[in-house]
Amino acid sequence: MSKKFIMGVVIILIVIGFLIWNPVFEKPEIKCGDNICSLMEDCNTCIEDCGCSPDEFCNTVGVCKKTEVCGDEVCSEQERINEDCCEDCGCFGERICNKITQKCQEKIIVSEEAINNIVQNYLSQNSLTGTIIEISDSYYKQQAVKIISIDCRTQELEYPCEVVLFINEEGNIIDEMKSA
Amino acid sequence: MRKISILLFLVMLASPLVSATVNLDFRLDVEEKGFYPNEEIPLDVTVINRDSTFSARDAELTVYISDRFYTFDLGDLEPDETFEKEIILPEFPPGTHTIKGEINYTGVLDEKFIETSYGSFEVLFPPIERYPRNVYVSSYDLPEKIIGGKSYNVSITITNDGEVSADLLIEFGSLDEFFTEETTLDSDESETVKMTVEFENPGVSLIEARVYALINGEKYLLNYRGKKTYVQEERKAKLSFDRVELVDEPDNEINQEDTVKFKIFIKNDGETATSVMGELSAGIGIDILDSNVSYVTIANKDSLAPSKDIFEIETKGVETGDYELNLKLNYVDSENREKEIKIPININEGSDSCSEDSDCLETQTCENRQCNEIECVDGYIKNRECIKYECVRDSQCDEDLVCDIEKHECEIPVTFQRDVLIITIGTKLDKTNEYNEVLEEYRGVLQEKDLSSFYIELDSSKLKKFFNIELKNQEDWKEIRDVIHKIIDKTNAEYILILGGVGVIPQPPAKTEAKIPAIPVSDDRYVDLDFDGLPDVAIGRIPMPATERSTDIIEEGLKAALKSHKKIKLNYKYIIANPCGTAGSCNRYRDNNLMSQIIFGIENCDNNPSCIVPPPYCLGYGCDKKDEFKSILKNGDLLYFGSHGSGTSFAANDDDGWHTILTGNDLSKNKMENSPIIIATACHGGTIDCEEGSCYSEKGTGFAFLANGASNYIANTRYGYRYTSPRLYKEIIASMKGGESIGKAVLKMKREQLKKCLYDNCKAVIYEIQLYGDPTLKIGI
Repeated sequence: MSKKFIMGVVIILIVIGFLIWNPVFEKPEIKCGDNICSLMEDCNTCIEDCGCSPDEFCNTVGVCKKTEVCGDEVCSEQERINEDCCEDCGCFGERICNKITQKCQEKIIVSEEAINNIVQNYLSQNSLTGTIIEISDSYYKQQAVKIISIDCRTQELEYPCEVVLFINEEGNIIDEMKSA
Repeated sequence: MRKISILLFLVMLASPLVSATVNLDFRLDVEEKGFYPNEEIPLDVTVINRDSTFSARDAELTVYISDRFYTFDLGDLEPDETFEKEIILPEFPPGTHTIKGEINYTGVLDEKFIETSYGSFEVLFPPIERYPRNVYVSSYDLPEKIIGGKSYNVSITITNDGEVSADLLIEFGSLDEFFTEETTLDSDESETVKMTVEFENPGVSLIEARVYALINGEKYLLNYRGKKTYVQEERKAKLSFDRVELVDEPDNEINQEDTVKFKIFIKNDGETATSVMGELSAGIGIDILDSNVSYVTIANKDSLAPSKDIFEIETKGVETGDYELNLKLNYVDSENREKEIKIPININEGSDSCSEDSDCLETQTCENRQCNEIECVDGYIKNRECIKYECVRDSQCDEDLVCDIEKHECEIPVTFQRDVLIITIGTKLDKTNEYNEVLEEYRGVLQEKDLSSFYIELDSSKLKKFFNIELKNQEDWKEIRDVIHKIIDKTNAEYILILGGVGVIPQPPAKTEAKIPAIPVSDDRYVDLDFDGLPDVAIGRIPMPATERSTDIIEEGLKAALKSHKKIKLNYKYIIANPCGTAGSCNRYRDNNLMSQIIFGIENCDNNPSCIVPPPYCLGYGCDKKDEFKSILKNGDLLYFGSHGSGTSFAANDDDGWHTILTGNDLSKNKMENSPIIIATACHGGTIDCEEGSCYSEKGTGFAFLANGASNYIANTRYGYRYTSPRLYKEIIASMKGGESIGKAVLKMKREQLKKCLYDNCKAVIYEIQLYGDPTLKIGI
């Protein structure tokens, strides 16, 4: 019993000694406070040398980032109160985020029938055939729009054919995109 | 009262200037008659001190007649005392001779005075027919320097410039010796008379030459010429060896194997020696390392050796015992002299002799029974071994490390900047030697372009070592982004090059919700440092299929980049112009014309021979100019594909239907040899993240171009859009033409165009454009 205990202590001491000595575990020397933000230092490890400015915060890897950045996927207190960054804070209910204004907007209401009519008119005017594959809500400049994606392939081809229509509240096509 | 004081003061000041000349009556009298050259001339000298108070002390009389002078010591001439003396002057040649007398005496106040008086006499030509005239001493030849007690050769030359032949008696010499010679000189003849004179008395000595005509047994002085010379007293230095002093010699001995510096002291028991130079020589076994020293001057009773100019010898296995060195001294006392003296030395066994290393200092070893310092450059000595430092300069450290010259250890620099950041995940690649070599070569080329680079495998310990962070989840693009931001923050990198496909480093979703037809992926997300949706750093990637571990495509991409960097300008440019779009009428010429304008400056593609239309220029069905098209693939250096794309092929359509322009598979059979830049508007042209289908392999166009010789490939990760996509490419080309690198041209286009976007789909079409290959390439278009 006592032999085992002594052996155990010796092994523990050897391991501790190895850990202390082994350069792999040796912590690099960091001279914090020399007014040089060295490679090894950052705002997490040495505020004296690498501190962030008042409008910044130190992120997990020690890089200073602006606190109030709309689009950083963080809804800050200010953004939430001011309601001026729906991109980060999102919108309640059925509203959409207009990233131009950064305000939440009500979706426009265009009936499915109306959309079908608009699409069919468009296809016939452009000598195309196609089927609607997706209707989504988005924004175009200041306004909310419906985005209609149409698959315009006439045969089974590996090359896609897509038409994207931007329809406003009045049911007008305000822009279009055609795949290459 | 004040005026009187000043007067008295001035009188006191002036008193030392007052002199008291003695009233001397000084006369030189010669009988008033004409003398002949055979007659002596009596001269009466009278000096009367008519002063009743002062005496002329230490009076000395000197009488000068031509070159002759006579000096008499008169002593003190007391008041009213008279000095009288008759001086019998020797014969003088015919002519009027002036006598000048000078009395030098000392006055009452010890001032020196000279009293001068003149007289003259006339010597007549004797009334003899054919009396020789114009016979004279024409030259003297005396040594420049005469030392007393030594004999010198002197000579005179007598010339007869007269018309009468002359029998002559020549008397020539000094007070010490006189020489007489009789000769006859005809008209226009000369004769030189030589004699050796020993000048015994130092001081001024007069060398006289007298030429007499001998007529009827009588001597008539024809010419007299005297020349004063200064007879120096001989000075002799007496130099001899005094002692040897060893310099910086720890044991103060000369040993059998030794290098010794020493001084030889020379003493002088004679007159001062100047310009003393010593030259040392020795016998066999003793090498003289420094043999010459300058003693400059050794004065009487001095014993000296130069303080810094010292002798040095080396002994090599010389037997112990007494030896003599030879010191040759060259010096000047009253003349140039040379003297050789023996320098005794004793060679010992040596007090620091050793039999083993332990007999010596810690920094010495015992060799040939002598302790010798161990040579140790760039290291330190421990246990008599030179242990090299890890480093003494940066170049001795591994890449990116610097040498701490105090600790002599390679360390991470405090700060550093790198222009190009090359990143990958090392454990996801099967790296080969070729990979390492081509990577090094690529970085070397960057260096030549003044671009410093930093290669880091994000899963390596280097990340922790340099930046004190670790990448925990290699699949998490956000964590990778944060790591990249950290490295950019520390290095200020302007370019990022990702090595590997999405299996190595994922391609993140773009910052958009628009689906084209899905939310596009984009490496821009890695370089949006401030999260404003605009990329901030140029980024490129050399992709490979997600399941691959082979670095073949990376190597090919880097090789092509190396080739491109050697080019100055793109010369073989083509637009592969699809006539029709998939959605609607065949109006894609509008896009092709746009590119023709920016690349070639030709507005209409129809007028541009470099705008080629598939078919016939393609490799699929209905393509009649396959060979020509293959040649374009092989030699082209800028190819713009205004075509449809599926992810594995490009296609064109016209009224006859669809035509495959090329597939990824075709490229593997038709290598591009001119390291081209490829730009494609095709849908899925730049897709590298498909998880199924043929684009999963190297057949995917996203990989095939770089795998088969292209240096750069700009394409869409999702759908390309008519009108929209070509305008973006146009902006890239315009920036490159303006001198931007391809990476910064793409970056500039994205930043400018994203700011203008007023709807999400617009952003998606911009984000999806990806640059594959080296982003640093700068090339003329």
